[in-house]
Amino acid sequence: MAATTTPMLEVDDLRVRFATPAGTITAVDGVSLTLGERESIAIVGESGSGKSVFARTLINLLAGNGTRTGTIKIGGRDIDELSTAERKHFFGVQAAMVFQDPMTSLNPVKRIGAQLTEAMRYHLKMGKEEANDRAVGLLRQVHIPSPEKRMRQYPHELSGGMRQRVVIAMALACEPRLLIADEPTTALDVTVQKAILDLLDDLRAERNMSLILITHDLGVAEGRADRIGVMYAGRLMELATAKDLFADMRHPYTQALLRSIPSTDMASHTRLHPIPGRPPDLLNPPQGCAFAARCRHAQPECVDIKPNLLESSGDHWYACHFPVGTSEGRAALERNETAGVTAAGLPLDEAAEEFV
Amino acid sequence: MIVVLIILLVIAVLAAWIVRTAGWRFALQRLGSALLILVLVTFITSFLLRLVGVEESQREVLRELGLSENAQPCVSALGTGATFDEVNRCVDERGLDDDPFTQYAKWAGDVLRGDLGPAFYKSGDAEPLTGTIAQRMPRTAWLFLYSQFIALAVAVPLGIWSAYQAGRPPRGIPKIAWPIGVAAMLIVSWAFGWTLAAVILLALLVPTAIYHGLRGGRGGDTAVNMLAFVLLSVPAFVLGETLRYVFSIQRGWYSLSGYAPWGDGVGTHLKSIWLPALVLGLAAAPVYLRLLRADMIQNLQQDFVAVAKAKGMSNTHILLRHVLRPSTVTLLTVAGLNIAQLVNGAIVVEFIFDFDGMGSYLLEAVARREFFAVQTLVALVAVLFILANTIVDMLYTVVDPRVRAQAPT
Repeated sequence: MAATTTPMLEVDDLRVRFATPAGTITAVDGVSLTLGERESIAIVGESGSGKSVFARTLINLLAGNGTRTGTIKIGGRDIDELSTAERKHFFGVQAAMVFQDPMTSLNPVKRIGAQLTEAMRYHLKMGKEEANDRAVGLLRQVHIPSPEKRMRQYPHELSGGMRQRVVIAMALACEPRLLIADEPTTALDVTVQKAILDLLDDLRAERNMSLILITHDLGVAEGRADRIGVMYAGRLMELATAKDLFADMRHPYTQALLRSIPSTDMASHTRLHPIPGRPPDLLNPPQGCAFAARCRHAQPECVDIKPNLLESSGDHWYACHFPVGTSEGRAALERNETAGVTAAGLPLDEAAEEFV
Repeated sequence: MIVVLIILLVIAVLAAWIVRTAGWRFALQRLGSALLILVLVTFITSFLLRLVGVEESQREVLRELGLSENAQPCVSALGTGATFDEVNRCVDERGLDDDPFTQYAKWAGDVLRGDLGPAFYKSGDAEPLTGTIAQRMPRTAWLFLYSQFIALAVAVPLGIWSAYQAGRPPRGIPKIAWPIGVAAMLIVSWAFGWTLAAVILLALLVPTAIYHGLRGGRGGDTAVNMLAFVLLSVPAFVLGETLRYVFSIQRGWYSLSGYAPWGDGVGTHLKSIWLPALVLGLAAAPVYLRLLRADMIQNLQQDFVAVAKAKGMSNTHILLRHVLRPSTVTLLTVAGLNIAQLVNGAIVVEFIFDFDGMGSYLLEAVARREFFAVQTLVALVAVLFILANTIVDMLYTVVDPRVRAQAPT
């Protein structure tokens, strides 16, 4: 990316906290990220890692009990410094979002046409005819057959895949430059998943959009995104180009994630390695690295000191004291294997894993 | 006559509507079940008449007098001073000596011919019940319409606003202020008497409520809810008597000279009816408000609201165009059930305001043991209920197209 262009999205030290009766939860804990124009990034993490909250915060959809600190700039504009008039036509125009569940993201009592055109009529001040024509065009673009007929239908008359296409068309209505897709395929059949992801790829290329793809599935992220960020307990653990991340991963969590999912390259009956333990309690976050309790590399330092996300070489960032593929990491793992237990108290007995 | 025509017109429009949206089979099913319910209800009410005077002692008295032993309803209705001929004619007219089915057939035949019998058996001139209904029904209908209008005009905007505020972060007064405030009030009222405490309380509470109302946040929702509970807990007769005193006796803004029809001029008409309509409306408003608010709050949690927000739609647009319509289902149901007020009237309110509507007639008929009239009125309520619920069922399909999809085709 040339240095002269403004990045599409700049997030600096974003923190999101929720006040709950049980205490304060830090759902997003100091995430910084820059996304260039036409670039796509996938944010991968297990459920509860804060990736969805991150996505929603970007488009100003924070729930009532949430507070945000840190800056978000979309297209070079700080979203906190917009005037009231600018703000009115900012979200939905500059940035748009596709949600997880197409079954619930459409209003059941409004016709597809009305839901598609309302944003265009509101933001772009289009007339009814013009907006309708454009909506039909959008439906055609997301490969919905007989779009004129669909315009008059209600969501319940469409299949899940069709609905997700409508949701995508809706997000594209005002030609956003940044599209955030929050698990767009999780609720869909595998065959439909691929079609939707291909569609998103094509649309991004056609429209020169930037894309943030939120997913829990590394397989979905692979090959779909220029860069991949791995999120855990509200923090970015590793951020690298897709190629680097799979070929030369640094964070033990990324490694553990990959070891836990099946791949078509594996010989049959290959044992998968589940990640032991559970994600940390966000009400009482650990003092050190959030992954320390489940990490095979964990050292006393990991339990005490939170590692920062640092750049090592060529745009590869990771937050780990003893990264995979380095001499420190290898030494740490060896020490733990000799002791049979990590500094955080996780037993490294392969036999014990058999019974997990 | 006009009333009958209007009812027929409504039925015709309804039928056409049902056929269009749901198809012939659904329409016929609907019609069939409506007729069945109607026949059952009227038969049961007709049969209930026979339970008047089933006691053996009463029957014996009637036998000794040389009357039919089933004549008790007639004797009750005609009252003291009735001649034997009158009682016998009444028993014959009403088929009290026949078996229940013949009795019912007689009544149904009369009703279908438009003969509802006299309004009161006892009065000498025997004005027909149809005349009484034709005279009183329009008044009650206007009263009902105005009161529903007022109730909805209060409940819908407040309900929407309060549901919206309920989802926003609370603002303003810290929680600790409440116990301190209550303690201070108790001390003031103990030391200086409750009048001062009440004055201070009002002086603090009213500006706080207005402040919260204007600034929004969860406090606004609380303020609206408190208002709703106050309205709910004030009985109609308290509110009615107070307002009547203030507006008709002190100010003369409400005319006590009785109902004036539209023909007397809009101003005169409204002046003769607005106050009871207001009292009825304010009684129904908090119920509507709470129902709408609850449904709105639930629907505001839906994903499609987040989608609409992500599209950058304004809050007003989201509330009115996305959330309001699917949130009216419960409200519609309850409003539909209120239609019984057309016949029952609002007995208490009509009584307070000396409003000669259906309510006061029903009250009089019951008090005078005119069971035949009561029977016919019950049948009328049943007709209206069936009609109103059919309308409500049809409105469901307007509100939520998914209901239409489930209708049998």
